[in-house]
Amino acid sequence: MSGILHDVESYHSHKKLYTKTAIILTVVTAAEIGLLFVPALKPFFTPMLVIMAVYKLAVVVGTFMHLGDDKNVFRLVFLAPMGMAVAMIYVVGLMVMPHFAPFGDGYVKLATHKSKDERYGTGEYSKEAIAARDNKPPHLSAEKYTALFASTKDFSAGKKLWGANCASCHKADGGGMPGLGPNMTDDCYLHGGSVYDIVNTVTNGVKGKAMIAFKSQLNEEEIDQVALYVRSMRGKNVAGGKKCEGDKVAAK
Amino acid sequence: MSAKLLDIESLQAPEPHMHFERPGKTGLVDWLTTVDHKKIGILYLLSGVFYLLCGGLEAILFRIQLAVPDNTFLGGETFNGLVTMHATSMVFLAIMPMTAGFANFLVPLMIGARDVAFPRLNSWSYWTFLGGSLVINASFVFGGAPSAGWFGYAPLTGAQYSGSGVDFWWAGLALLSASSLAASVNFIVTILNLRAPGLTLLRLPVLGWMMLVIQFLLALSFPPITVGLILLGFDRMFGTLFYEVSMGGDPHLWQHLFWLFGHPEVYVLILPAMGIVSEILPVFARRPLFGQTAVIFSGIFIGFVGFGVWAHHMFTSGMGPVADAAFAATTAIIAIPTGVKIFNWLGTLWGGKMTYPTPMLFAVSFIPIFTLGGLSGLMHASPPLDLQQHDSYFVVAHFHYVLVGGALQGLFAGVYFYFPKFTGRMMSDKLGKVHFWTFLAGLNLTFFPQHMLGNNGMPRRIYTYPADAQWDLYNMLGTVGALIMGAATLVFVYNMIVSWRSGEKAGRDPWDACTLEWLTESPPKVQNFDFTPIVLSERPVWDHKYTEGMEIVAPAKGEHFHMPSYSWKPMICSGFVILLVIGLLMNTFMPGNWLWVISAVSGLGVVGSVYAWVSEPV
Amino acid sequence: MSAIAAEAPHDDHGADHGGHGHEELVENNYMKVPNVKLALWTFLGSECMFFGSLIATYFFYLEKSISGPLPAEVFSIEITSISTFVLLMSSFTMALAVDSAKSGAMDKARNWLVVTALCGSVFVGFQVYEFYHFFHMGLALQTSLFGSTFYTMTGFHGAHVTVGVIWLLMCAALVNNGKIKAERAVVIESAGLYWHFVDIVWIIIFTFVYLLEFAK
Repeated sequence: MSGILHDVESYHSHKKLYTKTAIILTVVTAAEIGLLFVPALKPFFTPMLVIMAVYKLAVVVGTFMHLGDDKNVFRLVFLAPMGMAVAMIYVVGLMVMPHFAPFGDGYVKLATHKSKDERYGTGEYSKEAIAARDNKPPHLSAEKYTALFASTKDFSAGKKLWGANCASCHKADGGGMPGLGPNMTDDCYLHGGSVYDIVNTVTNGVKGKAMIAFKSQLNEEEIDQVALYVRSMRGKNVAGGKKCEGDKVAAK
Repeated sequence: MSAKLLDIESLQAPEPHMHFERPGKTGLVDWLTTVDHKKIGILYLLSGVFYLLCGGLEAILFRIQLAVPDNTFLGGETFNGLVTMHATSMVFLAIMPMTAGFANFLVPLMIGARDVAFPRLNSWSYWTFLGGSLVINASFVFGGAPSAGWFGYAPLTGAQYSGSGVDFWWAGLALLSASSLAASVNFIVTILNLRAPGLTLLRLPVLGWMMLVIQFLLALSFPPITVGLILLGFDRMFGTLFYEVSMGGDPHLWQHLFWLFGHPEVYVLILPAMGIVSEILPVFARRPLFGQTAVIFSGIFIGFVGFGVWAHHMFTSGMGPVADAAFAATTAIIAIPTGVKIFNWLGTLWGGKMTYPTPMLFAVSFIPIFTLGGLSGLMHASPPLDLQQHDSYFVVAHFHYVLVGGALQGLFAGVYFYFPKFTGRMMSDKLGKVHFWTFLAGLNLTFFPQHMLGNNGMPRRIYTYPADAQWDLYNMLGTVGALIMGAATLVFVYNMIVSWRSGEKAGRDPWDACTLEWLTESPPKVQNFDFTPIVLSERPVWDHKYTEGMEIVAPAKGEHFHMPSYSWKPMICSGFVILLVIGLLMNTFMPGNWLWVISAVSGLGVVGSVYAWVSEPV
Repeated sequence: MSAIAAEAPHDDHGADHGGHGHEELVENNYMKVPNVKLALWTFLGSECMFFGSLIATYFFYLEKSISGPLPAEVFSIEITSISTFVLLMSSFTMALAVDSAKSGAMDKARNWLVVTALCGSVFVGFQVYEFYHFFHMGLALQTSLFGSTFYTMTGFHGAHVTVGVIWLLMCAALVNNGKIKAERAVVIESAGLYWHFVDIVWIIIFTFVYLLEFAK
């Protein structure tokens, strides 16, 4: 079975090297697990864990499998495919993972990409945990939004976005549709009437309702604009609008 | 023990004590238990030719259906089944095994070895391949052929859209991939490690090189489709969600896994044909291959870049502009090494003293026909053009020019060229020329009009079309051409049978060729060589004949060849592996505990037979 | 033996069986490496693509499940850490088995092989327990994409470990009845290569599937 018969006499035992390697592997594995209990290092978890995994891999391949000091042909037939496998994972990842945009753009727009709410909405597990992970807070404080609203005169950008994204459920004039979006021109709000609240609702959507999270479709600035426009509609009370839903707030 | 000049005529036949013949198995038992690379090679070739006829028959049947508009010869489901099985048979059961046959028979001879590195594993590969091919074709009897197309796109292959045919399809292909993996490891080791002294990698014949490249392609491209098939099987058997869109699954996953395999597979089909052509042209042009090193390196480059182009099959799936551009670029790059090869072949022919026996005719016609297919392929590299041509008959024309005009013509050339080595007899040149000219006519008559059909908007995989679509003339031409090709192939098979029985006897080297295999007898003895050749150039046999001669190492007195013995174990082991897969299929027909019973029995069988295998005396 | 036997150690033990043995051909050993070792490395290259495809599938569907439970809800870092450690140490014992075989201590080699196989079985046992545990937390193969991809990927790794255990036990048996002698230690070394490979696949899965989930 072997091409070249092994010569026992000329062989030098590697026991010491192997023992050392085993100790290193144990220490690194302990470090990997221990790392998770040091919250201060959280921002560095991913790179540190990846580095340690690659190090362990290299140690096993290099010493236990002796690739480091063996013939070139072994490195060729093993490391080249391993590189290809890594490249394959990376390229496939590029094409499907939203955070790998712009490569991922194509598929994200297809049906496969759903908001977290849709993904986990029917699950019975730990909605709070998901919500805590999922919710993206507005990028300005409530006071700053209020001030921004006070200083804004031109709502045309928001109006345009409204027409493209909101009007299908809330109607073009904001009067709301039966069974779908509530009236935006009265003084009643289900999820808070401040600009900050509206930004929050638009960004993250409302779980279990038709209101979807727009954070994957609109950027922060666009959401701000549409929220300011929504705020500006308050109290217009368009004709044929839906009845008041939710808590009444002071007009204007 | 010392090196001396080779003198074939005066070389004494080795005395009986110098090598041990295999124990006297004869007839059927001999073929079942053989570990001889030459016999396994012939088994592969015969299986390949058999499935070539099956695939051709399927093609002729659905060409008849398409001959006239609104035809009712076949129903849609039968049509789909025949199309799927035609492609599956041609790719996996005809061209690949014929290639494997050439690799088995020729590679050890070309490198001056006595057999492959793992003769029993070689036998296991063949029986597993045969089992897989039978499993796929068994679908015709049990519940109808798979009809989801040969690349089995999800969700068409899902349980709700297709019947049990797809079960046979994925299970059979999984067996074929196991067989190919074993064979590829075996041949990589053989080519790298069993070369004769002096046969450096750059002195390896181009065919040997292309075989090495495709073994790497097989070893590295079959795992993705194996995973894809396993996921498909799990979806169908256990209700997993990999391709289940309603639960968030994504059919693109299948497309990625399939084409990660599928595109390297295309090069697995064409590179051996290129290798054969590169062997034949120098012999009949009486000139060394022009730029042999460039031909070899361009083959390696094609194989390597072949892994980076798979998504050009998916331009229409909406990958986004960046991915489209990247894959368009890699695809276009592949045209460069292919062009290098074509110009090297032309350079070989330039100024040669040409003769045109049948193998040369096929080899020469390979060049322009393959180039036509290659050029239309290059057009598909452009995403906007591809969006127009995708899934139309233009694509059908493209890959048939490449695979029939390229791969199959190359393999035909190889059969005519190496037949004397396989059997010791020449194939009839007269019948061969009838075969060549009719096949060439049929090929172009069938596939050239399909370019126009595609441009006129005829989509692939429709089983009939209305009369006012104006597609009837080209389709009728295609059907006539297919019938002509079928007749030509029958001439080929008749030629093989007749020549094998009563062809003109061939000597060692009927073509005055240049590579090591022509030093052996025709057909070669069980131990291939009575001596060990020493190779000092790319053309050792021409060295032997036209220069001072080539050196060999003759065996010293008292030494013997140690040839591996026959064995039942590979076939038994592969039988249990096939049984394991049949057990999975039983689950479709007889749900219940059969799955586990058969799995357990066959699992134990595999372990037991492997133990018996490794316990055989070394 | 063959004509260029001078280049390879003279080996005639095939003649013990009347010359009809199964020794793979040794005469032309061009790269001066054992066939079986080269075959194993090539095979492991192919296995890289196999596990690469499974891992790519897992990433493809990461966070795309439309129903729970989520990875972080079912993973138990304690159990997985222990089984990971056992598998890691089995690589150590495997290295010792190869070392003993190459030093000519075949009895020791056999014992280390059995110990390694035992460690592998413990790992598989942990995995079976883990699957059972996850199943009772509501994660089945058919529950979600996470269930499908997770069970398939780790299941195929477990199947590889199981094959490895059988392989090692076969080696131990062949050492025991004298069919693998020290001169053919490369057979054990090759089994070892496979075993170490299965271990490094687990190193990757442990980090990229388990630990990174906790790192979020």
